[in-house]
Amino acid sequence: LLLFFFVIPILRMATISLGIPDATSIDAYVRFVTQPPYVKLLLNTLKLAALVTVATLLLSYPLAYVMTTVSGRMFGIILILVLTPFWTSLLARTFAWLIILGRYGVINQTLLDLGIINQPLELVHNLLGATIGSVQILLPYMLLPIFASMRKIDPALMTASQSLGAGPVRTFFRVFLPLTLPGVMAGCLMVFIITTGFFIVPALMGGPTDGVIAPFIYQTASSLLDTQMASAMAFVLLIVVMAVYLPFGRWLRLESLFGQ
Amino acid sequence: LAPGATYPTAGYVPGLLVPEVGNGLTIPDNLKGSGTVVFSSFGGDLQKAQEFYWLKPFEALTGIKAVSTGPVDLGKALTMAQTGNVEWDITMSDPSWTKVAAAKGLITPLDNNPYIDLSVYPASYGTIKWFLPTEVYSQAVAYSTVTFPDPNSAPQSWLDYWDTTKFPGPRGMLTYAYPHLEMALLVDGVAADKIYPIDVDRAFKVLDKIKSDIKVFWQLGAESVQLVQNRDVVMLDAYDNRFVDLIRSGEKVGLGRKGQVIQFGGGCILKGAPNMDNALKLAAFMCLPQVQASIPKFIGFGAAVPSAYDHIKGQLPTDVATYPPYMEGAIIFNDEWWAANQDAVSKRWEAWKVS
Repeated sequence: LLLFFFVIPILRMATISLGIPDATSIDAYVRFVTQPPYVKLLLNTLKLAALVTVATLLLSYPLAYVMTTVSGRMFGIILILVLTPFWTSLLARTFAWLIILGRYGVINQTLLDLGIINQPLELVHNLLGATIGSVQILLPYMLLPIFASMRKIDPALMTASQSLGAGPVRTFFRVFLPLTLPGVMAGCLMVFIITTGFFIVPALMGGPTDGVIAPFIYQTASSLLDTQMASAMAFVLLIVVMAVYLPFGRWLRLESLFGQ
Repeated sequence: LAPGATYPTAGYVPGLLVPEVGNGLTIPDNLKGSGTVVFSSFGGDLQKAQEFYWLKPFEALTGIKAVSTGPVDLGKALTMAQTGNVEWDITMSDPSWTKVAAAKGLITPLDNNPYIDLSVYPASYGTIKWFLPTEVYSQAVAYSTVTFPDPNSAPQSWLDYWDTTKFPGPRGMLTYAYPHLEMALLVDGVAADKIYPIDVDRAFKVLDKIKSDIKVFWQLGAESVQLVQNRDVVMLDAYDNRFVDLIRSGEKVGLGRKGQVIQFGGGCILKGAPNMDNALKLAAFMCLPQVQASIPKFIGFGAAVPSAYDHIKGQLPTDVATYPPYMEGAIIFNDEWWAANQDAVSKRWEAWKVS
């Protein structure tokens, strides 16, 4: 089934990108590397993905820890708060952000009225805006694996570490953090990979020079009708993502085996 | 069409008397027939209006059942035509896409059939063969009347869009390449009727001057409205029809139409459309002048067939792109130039945007 619905279409995409059956050439890939705007769009995509990954990690890690300590009811409330945006329509959510973060949006208007600022802050239509919008939707992908790995940790290990003379900082870095790494890695990979395919959020909330590759792949295929180039772009993106995934993926699997 | 039925347009023009289609409207006998025709459009208010003004009277007068579907995705349309698995008879599309698809042999020609009267289109539109123009819209400067309460000191033209001294503040620009090269050349002093063929290098030099003031490249119609209404930008190059609709319902927005870029909306018949004969009949119906007379009631569009205005009784619409004073000095978008150059220009455009 996986072969039929996943591998075959990808092979087909690879053959289209090489111009098969009309002619076989790596022309599309040469154009990707040598002509603008492809490389720049790819770098923008990776930059956004990296930023979003770091930001979700910094938010998720403490929050996941809090979730392991709170009562069942509080846990439920946090989970609902984190998952609600996940279930809201992407467009509605993005437009809501624009209303909050806009030049005369809720935040700027409040700060202007209070006299804290004289000029509206640029909170959206830049990399910050694209990151905020992406982080909101991707938070659960990071939070849940980290939470799962934290919950598996036996609290007795912390006590043992401290009784053997390690301070809280040392206990965290030598015992707690390594045990949560599989969750962290899984979350980071998922967030990074999903962000590389992001489409609407960077377009609506990103800055004028922050264009990412996914919309241009779509435009190349549907509007310019250049399926060869579009396939090549998609394939390069796939390879780059695999290059990120494979080393970590292997390491991750070993690590989790070791953990068990 | 049910007697007394009215289409609930938000932006109905008071005093504009359009003959109710299906009510006293006659059509050539050869458009009558049987069977079905599948019509695919972009959804939303536009499609609702098309169903009311085109499909319902077409059904009533021809006896051909008209099925409305969609939304049109031009990538999907391309795949349909390429695989020969076509589900749509009439596909709403855009002129450049249709030209490129026609060059690949995926579109049915509109001439050489007994139904469609192409003589309703003026010679200035060029040869009509693949794309059937049904409505007219333009790209014009949209602004908030909160920022510019006095229409006389509001932005009027692309010159004002480029004038960051007189009108400082962030701008929005449509995310696609077209028709910004045209605007740039107009700003650089090229006459509206001398824009084509476009001097691409010259246009990009003019675009460079405004680049740092463009804060948003917008993509969705709803997005353009929000950017203007929330004053995230002081002005942007909007599709006029959405803003005409907003102005008709009293929203605080305005349009500067000097040098507006006139473009055509419409559709095409994909190669291998399942009900070809009925598709041609519906296409013929859509460009009948008396049917076209209802277009200005569509969300802020002008009629693509000029003689449609002979069929409008009473006051003519003064707020759509085709209103004669707005047409003076307007640029007529040349989709042939774009079909030939879109590939190269789009890449340069994308590179320019992220530079």
